[in-house]
Amino acid sequence: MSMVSQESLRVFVVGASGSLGRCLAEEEAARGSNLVLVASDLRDLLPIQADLILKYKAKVEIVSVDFRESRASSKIELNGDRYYFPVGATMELDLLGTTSEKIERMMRVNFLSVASIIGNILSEPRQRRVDIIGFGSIAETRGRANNVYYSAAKRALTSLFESLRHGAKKENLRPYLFHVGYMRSQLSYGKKMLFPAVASKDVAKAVLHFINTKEAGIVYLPRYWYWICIIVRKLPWIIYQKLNF
Amino acid sequence: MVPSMTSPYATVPLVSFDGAESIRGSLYSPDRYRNLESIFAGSEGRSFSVRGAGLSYANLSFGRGSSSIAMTQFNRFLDFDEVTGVVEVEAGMTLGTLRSGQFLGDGTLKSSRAILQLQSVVVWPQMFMVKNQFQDLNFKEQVQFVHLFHPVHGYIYCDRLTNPEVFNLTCGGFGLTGIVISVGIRLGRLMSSGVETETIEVEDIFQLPKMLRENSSKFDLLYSWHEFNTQNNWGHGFLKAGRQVEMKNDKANGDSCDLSALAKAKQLLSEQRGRHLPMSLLFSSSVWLMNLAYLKKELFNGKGQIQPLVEFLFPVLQKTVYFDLFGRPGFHETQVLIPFDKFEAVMTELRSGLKKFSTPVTLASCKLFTGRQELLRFIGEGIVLAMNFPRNDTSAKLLDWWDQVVIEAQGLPNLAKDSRLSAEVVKKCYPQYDLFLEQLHKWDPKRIFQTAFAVRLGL
Repeated sequence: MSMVSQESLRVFVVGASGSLGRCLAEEEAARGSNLVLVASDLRDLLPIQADLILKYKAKVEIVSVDFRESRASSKIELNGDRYYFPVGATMELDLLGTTSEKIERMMRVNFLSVASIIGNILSEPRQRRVDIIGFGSIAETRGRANNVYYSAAKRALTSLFESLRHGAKKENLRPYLFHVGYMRSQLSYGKKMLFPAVASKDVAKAVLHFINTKEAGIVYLPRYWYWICIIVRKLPWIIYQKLNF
Repeated sequence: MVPSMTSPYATVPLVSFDGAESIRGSLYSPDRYRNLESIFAGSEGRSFSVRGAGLSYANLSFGRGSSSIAMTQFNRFLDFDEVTGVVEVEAGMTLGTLRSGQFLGDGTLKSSRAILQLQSVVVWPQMFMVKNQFQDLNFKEQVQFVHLFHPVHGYIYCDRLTNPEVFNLTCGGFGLTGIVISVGIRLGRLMSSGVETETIEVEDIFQLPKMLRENSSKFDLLYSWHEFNTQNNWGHGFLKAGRQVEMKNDKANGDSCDLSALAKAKQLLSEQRGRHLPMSLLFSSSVWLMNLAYLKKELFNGKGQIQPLVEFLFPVLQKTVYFDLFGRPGFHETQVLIPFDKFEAVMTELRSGLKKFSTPVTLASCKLFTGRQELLRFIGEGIVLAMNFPRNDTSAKLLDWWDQVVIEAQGLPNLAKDSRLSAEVVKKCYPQYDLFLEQLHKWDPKRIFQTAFAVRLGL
């Protein structure tokens, strides 16, 4: 196993135009990493690239890929040391009776895009260890009649990262999955929430701190969400089915 | 972590900085181009307003039935030309962040405050003539080009040669021409972020024009402060002059200054004010005492004090409690440009008016002004006088009377500072009101961008 210094890390941020993706890219650029930013809209990527080059003199490449399309992941040349996947989407009415087209789109963006890139990374021979950092959601804790297919996709992501963790040693990789609680982003904007939303900048800092100091794992951010999710999971069905959230 | 396909919005209280108007309105905060564009999808018949830092005095960023769009997340550096000193940044960037750009070297903005967003600065440049307008003119002079978005016209580039009429209308157009996406700004050189200050006593307000003129060539920054609440020695005050100085180990230098400013700015938001104070604590006696103490302190300090530039440009930043003391009712601000030859007569009128209406003046400050007036831009030759009063019926009557004094003196009220000005007063003071209206309606016949300010002034 060969280690690489932080300065020479080649870091991919898949979903770089969202609030968390932007913050992760900025944190990595500040640490001297070379970046490959992936997002669907070039108009969003160009300003992020310019900003990071001007502020940090970072090496930043950009790739425009729309993950709603099939085989989108094959457009990315995967030669990184670290991959972040803050990619995903929700839809306004994510209910049980949703059209197959919308379900497919949700699955592509939230799960299949990540899974296929990871599959492509691991199918190629590698000399160096890679870090694979996924972002789950507290929504996957327990299925409910709202946010149906988003939660299902995130649950699938959890399973994938459990598998990655299981095979980490053999595959020479460090997988991390961060279940992010309420975070200030377009996803949560304007919504009433039971708990305070954290800034995406703080989440990005916590993520980098964790992967630079701890071995692979599945983590809740902020940490208190672990206990909330345990409680939700353990609620007797007779009570859970009456909850409207 | 990518948002849904349509841009979400929050329903939030929106309050003008002076506390005059408060509504619960829709506020969008797009972070991507598609989110921004989706706001306007199927928006036929709807109106919108653009929000910068949310600190506008005169309802410039919201209105009844108008959805506000905050451009906070469009806040990136796009380009920097070291030869010309022109930096291109997105319009949601705060001036504090812009000043902290290390790659800019010692370049900094002329006419800059540290807390406000460029979205506001470009469209309301009359609010940003700070303490050295006599040297650097209004902020518009530093703007080289603008990228604008309008749902009908799309993305438009404009400068003094390309689409000059749009450029001219947008800079100082109160956000009514569309959404400023990015701007190119010419930077000036700054020796340090510290200012060596000098306090010069003004014993007689009628000597002020002469004193301002004499000192304007000696200092980089200059304004005056006056006490208008006593009949004895009425207008007694001081000139506050600043000179940029080269300093080593400048404790005022660096980003901490800007970060502090940003933190304070959050406290400044009028939405947060007055929650715990339903009434004003600024009465005649308390104001007299407060101002007397301030005057004595400033005169005692004399000269040679080193102060962070940000604090000098916006002294209230370190005293945000000042705004809290107005309580929930808020305050009135009036800022008028008085021609030099009318200054003495206007001051005489003001003295009698203040005596008649008997309302405390919590702040009175003057500065020197220059430039050619056009459209609705607050610019011209003369002295700018700014005053604050607690918001109540008496001060409202005083200001109605004051409007007439200003009209007779051929003065110019700052539209961006006074949320009570009527269309009639503005028409009498601004000769190009009709021209502005005509050009605005030609550019945007459906008047998609509407605010309470625009409705009040018949725009």
